[in-house]
Amino acid sequence: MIGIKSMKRQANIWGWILSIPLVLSILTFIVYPLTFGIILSFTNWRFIPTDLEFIGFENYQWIFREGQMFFKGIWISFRFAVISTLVQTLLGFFLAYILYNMGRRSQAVYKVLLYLPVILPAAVVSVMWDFIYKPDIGLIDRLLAIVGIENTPLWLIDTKWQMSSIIFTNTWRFVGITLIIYFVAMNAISREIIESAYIDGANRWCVLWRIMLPLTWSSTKINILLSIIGGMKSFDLFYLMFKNDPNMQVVGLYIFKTAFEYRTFCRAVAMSVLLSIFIGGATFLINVLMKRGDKEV
Amino acid sequence: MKKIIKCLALVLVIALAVSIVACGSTGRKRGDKNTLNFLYIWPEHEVAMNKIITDYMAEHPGVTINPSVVPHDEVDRALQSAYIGGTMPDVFFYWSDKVYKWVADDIPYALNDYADGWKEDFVSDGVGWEAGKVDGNYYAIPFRSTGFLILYNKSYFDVHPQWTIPTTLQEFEQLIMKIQADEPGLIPLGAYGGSGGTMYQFQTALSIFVAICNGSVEDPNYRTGRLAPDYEDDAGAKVIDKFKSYIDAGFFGPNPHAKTREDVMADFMNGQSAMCLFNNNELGTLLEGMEEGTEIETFAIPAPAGVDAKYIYGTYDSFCVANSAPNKELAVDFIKYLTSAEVQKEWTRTEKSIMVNKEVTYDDPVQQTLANEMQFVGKYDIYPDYNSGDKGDINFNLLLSYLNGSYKGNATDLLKEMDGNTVQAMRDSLLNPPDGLDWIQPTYTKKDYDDSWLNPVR
Amino acid sequence: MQETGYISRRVDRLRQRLASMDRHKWIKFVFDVLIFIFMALVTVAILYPLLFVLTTSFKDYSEFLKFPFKIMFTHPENYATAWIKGRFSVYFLNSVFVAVCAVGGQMIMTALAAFTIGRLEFKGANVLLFVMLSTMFLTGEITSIPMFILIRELGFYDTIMALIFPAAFGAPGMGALLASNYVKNIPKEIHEAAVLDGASIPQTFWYLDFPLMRPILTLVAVMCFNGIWSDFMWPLVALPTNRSAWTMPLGLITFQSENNAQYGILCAGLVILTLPIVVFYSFFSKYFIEGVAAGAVKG
Repeated sequence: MIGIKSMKRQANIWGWILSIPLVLSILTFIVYPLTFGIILSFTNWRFIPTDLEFIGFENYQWIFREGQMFFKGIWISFRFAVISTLVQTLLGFFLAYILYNMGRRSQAVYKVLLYLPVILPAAVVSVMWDFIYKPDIGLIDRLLAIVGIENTPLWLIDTKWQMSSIIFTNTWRFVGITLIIYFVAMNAISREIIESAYIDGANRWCVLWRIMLPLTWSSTKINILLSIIGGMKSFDLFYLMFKNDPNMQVVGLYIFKTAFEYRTFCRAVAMSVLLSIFIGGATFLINVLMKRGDKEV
Repeated sequence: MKKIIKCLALVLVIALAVSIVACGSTGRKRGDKNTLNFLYIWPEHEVAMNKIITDYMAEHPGVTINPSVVPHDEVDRALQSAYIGGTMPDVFFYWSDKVYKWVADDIPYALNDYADGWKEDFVSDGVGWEAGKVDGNYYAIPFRSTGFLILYNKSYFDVHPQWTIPTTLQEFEQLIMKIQADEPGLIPLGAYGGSGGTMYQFQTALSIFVAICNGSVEDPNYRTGRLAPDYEDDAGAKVIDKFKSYIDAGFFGPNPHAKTREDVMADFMNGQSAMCLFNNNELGTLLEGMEEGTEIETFAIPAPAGVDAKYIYGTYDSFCVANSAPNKELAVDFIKYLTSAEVQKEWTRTEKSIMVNKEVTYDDPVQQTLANEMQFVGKYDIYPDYNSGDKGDINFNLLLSYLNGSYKGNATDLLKEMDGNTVQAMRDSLLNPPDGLDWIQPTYTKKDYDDSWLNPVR
Repeated sequence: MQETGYISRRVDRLRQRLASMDRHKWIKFVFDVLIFIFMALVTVAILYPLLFVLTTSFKDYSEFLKFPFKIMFTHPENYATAWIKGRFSVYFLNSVFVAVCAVGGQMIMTALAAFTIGRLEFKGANVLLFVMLSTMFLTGEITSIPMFILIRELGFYDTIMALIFPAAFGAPGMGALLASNYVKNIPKEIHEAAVLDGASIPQTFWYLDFPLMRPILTLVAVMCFNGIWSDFMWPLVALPTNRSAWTMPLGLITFQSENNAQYGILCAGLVILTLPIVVFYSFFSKYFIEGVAAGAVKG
């Protein structure tokens, strides 16, 4: 920043001083919980002050030996994350393209409207959709009744429809994000490329697949990454809609129950550690897989 | 912009200062002998409870009671968090039959010293106290009882005089079959599946009847639920198959697994079910939704002929004292106030619950019948003294898969698998500190009995 | 007469256009119409649930059963009931208080972080950044139990400080990354000029960078506000019994379990909780949307 040496030294000193709050914050809120958490996962502490025993890997062994619900939970979360990501990303992609081809005013209006569900608090979304999915009197069943469909399944209880219902809600909530990310990326592509493609006789569909898709690949990567990580960690919606349903115990919910209902916290922390490793690994894998698609324009 | 930043920074600093000061003064300082932190779970009864608290504080000047209410499905989490954070309430609500969860960590205070004299004030000689007994110590004092009884719509029964109120299990089954023959399309008994569903009470009832018949209720360790299973005796498998036959034969209507509590309530209110299995505390809501003049009467699940018992699934809503309470005398005194005759009478007058004080009488005949039958609540129930962790959910899923036909194996295989899971949970030293638990060998003498009533219906 | 003439002229013109179109343009026209309908449907699908909640909040139970789709304003007292019964006044104030403190704290933290990492470029800056970003992988549970213990030791447990403390002083994360990139783009000459004029480094920070970072800080403020306003897991875990310190999401959940069949009141509660954030959004939508976009592009 500063060319003069003594100024540089002063800059460094001030750098250290001004970064103290930041470093303190990181130490307190990131480093401490993480390390203490990892240490806890090797004990069997139950919050009785004097009773802390190190039991080594026993918690982890338990998870692999008897923790079938944990893996089931990961599987459910994974299914949810993957399907949700697919739906959301595709829908967002198409919608962004449609928006791209609209007039400036429509764009502004639709952007704001479609992004609205994203900002709603999770509690509101869950309570609202729980209300909408209610049998016979909820919105969905009412609408279907108008069209004449009477015997609707129980959206939140029927095992065939549970997953679809919550994916629908999740997509409803987050499609705005994928839409905006794609939209911004599409706008960043220089108009000349698009124009020359049209001149060369391409129609809009062609432009979508041959030009937009490859050039927004990094946005696709971001969207998929965000959706998958968010989906795997998903807790809010599931806690409020499926707390006691044995078939939809996503891993976040199961860990929460292990900590607060079965009261075996150290195991819950061990599971969180495993989950974080899993999510980290999945992220890495997705990054690697998608690098092959990165093209320079 | 600068001004805004400065203002914000100032606000932040002030907020910090205020909060640090404030959090020092609010909340009870540890060791304050005249404040009681009190937790209960009925937001719907908050008004009544607040009145009780105000009355108590008026009678005991200088004492402050800080109440807090959480919904019933949040109480575990709230108590758990309070325990971790060191803000455990001094008097807290819990269900008697599940209080063992907290005993493992030495949280509730043993109240044996207060039992003498006090216990006699309770109905049925204080059977409610026994529900909260773990390892020989009393931890939970009942406040009111919750029980599920079979309610029936008298208008249907008046039209069909051949439908008689059953006094034995066999008569009960015949009644259902009569209902199905005379009024096809009418749900004989509304009950719902799903976790915690009322349908499963029949399974428990059958198991308990078996236990009464073969004498295992007399084993001193019966209540713990850890009596080692005996696979030579196929009564357990028969219970499951019989229960399954109830469902398959349409006792609970078509597809009870998919029904919810609200559905069952709605069915009964709309006259689509002749009977339903319901919670006595919901009686008020149920009555409001029915047509004017509909009469509802009730009976409990009867035992097979020759067995003098009834089954009522229920529990006692109780209060415990925490070991961390600085003034245990005050805590116990408050609970005594809550279970005193005047308070209980007033409570039932406004809130219509069934109370535990033996002096309480009920004006509504339905309530009185309920109160009479309530003596069977918890009489033969098993109150497990171990934590089953997530194995409870796993076992429930197994049972469901058996009931809907997708389980590979017969009922004995199912039982063996479920027991295997249960014993794993028992032995888990993290769930059941410090060393885990195990099966207990039974010591009762087995009685012979005629088990023809255990055959599946149809 | 004039009107029909006008319409028939438009119809004629449309017919002429259609007749003169060749096959290609005809397909394009149909396609455009279909897309327009599709977009409208999607928007309706997105917004209708919210409108449904809004209209239900003015009805009582029997009206709701009979006329689910009619718009009627017959029971505005639902709002009063929800507000009082649900104790929303307390929760609302708590939410606002926590959010404001959190935003204030985070703005300062982010600004400092951006300045030290982006401008002063001292050693170890990248390490700090990396650490802050890796929190994305961590689930709430892994941090909440040790945080409990910390909060308990500080005596904040079960009070509103338990919410404010981590929110205001927590590590900035994504915001720091965005802000530090932004700061790197501020030209060095301004700083060198200031230094030559005799300014010390904290002065350059306060008078120069902080105001210049205004756009990105507003962005961070908006994202932070939304996060804190909606957060429900940490309050759920940290405030077990102290109902007077609860925030609105928690209040809503309890409200739902208490009022399960009273849909009118429940919807009124939902609207009360949503309205502030929607109003806030309608003024600052630019920032919400930009925040996502910026984060995505940099990430």
